[in-house]
Amino acid sequence: MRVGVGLWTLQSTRDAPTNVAASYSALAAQAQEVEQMGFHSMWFAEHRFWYDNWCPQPMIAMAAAARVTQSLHLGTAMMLLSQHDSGRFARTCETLEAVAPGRIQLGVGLGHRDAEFDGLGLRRDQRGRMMEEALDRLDPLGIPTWIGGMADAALRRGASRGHGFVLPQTLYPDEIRAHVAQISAMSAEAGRARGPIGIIKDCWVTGDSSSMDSRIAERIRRHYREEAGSWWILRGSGNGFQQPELLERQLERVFDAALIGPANMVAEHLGELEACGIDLVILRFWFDVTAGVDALRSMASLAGAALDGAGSLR
Amino acid sequence: MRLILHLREAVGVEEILADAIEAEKRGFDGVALSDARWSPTVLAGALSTGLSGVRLLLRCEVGAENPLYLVEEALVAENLLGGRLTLALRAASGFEERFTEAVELVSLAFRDRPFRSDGQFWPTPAGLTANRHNLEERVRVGPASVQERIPIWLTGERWASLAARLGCGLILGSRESDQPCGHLAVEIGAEELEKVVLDPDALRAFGDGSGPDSLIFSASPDPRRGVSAAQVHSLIDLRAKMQMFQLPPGLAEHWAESDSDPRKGSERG
Repeated sequence: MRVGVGLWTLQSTRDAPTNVAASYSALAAQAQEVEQMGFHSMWFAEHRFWYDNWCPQPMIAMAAAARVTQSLHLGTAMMLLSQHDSGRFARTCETLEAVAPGRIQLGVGLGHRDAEFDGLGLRRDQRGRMMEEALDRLDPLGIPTWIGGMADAALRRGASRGHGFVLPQTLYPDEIRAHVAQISAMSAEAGRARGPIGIIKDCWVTGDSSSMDSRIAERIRRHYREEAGSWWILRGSGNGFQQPELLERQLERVFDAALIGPANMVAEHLGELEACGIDLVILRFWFDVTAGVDALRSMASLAGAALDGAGSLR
Repeated sequence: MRLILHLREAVGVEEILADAIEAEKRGFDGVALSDARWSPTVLAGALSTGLSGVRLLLRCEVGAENPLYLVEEALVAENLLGGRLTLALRAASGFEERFTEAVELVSLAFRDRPFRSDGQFWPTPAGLTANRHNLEERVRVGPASVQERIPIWLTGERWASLAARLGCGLILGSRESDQPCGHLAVEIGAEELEKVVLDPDALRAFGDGSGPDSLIFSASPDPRRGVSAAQVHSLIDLRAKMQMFQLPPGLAEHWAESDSDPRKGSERG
């Protein structure tokens, strides 16, 4: 099982303010560190039209990381493909692939936030169709593509095209096994070889004297509370903050499924994921509230305990 | 006067990146990349780790797509470059009628504050009835730029009044212009360059107070030819002669001497 790390978003939030230009300036050195630690890949995520400077075009940032690394794969988890102009984005991918041949991993999702679609003059209810159109443009480029999500439509879309899949971080082992089986069945039904299956997992290695250890749980919870509270539609209308009980229940699940503990414990959990049929895990160490030296130290602890030196679980 | 080298386009990405780094070594102030073949913003991201001082001029068409994609890409590239980015816009063929609105939208979106635009082609936010949840009346495009605002230049004399209204620079194909604008850049081809270098009157016209702020020199359109040593020499020579209103006696002869005897010469070319 390949092991990658993420998610670089280059945010500067109210809870974790940082100079934006300094974040971009530090990116190349961070990519080099991730490569030296022996991880398979470094992953970025996209959002737009929010106060926090979230990087809305991660492919541009990935080009910088690509030029200072030799073997590190660079991926998106996720690129909100339905929000892009398909022709323009195909050229972006083609150029980035030319900058880093064979090292681009394109994770794509539909996007969920109405305000992002509306800001670009797009209809959210057309996002499935726009995704199909964009994939039609991208598939001939031959860049490894990963479909994000676990809805039937997403899994069927990936299975019919022979793409990979990235499952969300909230799944428990039984659910992961069920999804792997479902994807295998859908691929067989579509007459395609099943693509690789990945998963995102929130992660932190404790016990390495990091000053953040004791506060990590609350920090990550606050990160998700802000994002889910502001953006997620948990039931009907309104946002998560307007449905506090549902919001807390959702956060509990996110947090319960996270891998937080000593390196050997996290490594053990990674072994379980591999046994479930997962081919790639994207470990989310890098949040707005954890970004920096502590996150890199946490990654290094895990790399030393669990990686084989070639980007895979030992 | 700033010297900008517009890199040859019909070549591979590695050649473009190498040419840009070479241009910085040779003393150019800026490198121009267009969107004719590759994504210039991706190239800018890649170059951010290889260039330490050169400013990038990204020459992009607008009108065919929502300009906010370009705005976002430029903002990310500009942050990676530590602020050394200028955006040059030209109308996409067949979309000239949308150019004014596109430039206004780009200009507005670079201001790092929530805005709305009630334009004909890209109302922002669109306020579509199909989008229902947690909509916002204004959008802010991030990330914030390093510069107070990313400079915008428009290409072509027909856009001079728009450039003046929005405080944009202007790129013209000739120095024969007295258009008011924030920054005047003139494009010059290889043949014209040779004439200018040899013609003291032409040189004075470039160098006087109303001359261009920047000179954009197009590399050979022949993809097999990079910028020749002679071309670079001509440009550097041109600038040296224009940076002072009047050269002291003997300096021009001194330079000519080093040109004729490479052993006495500098590292030019």
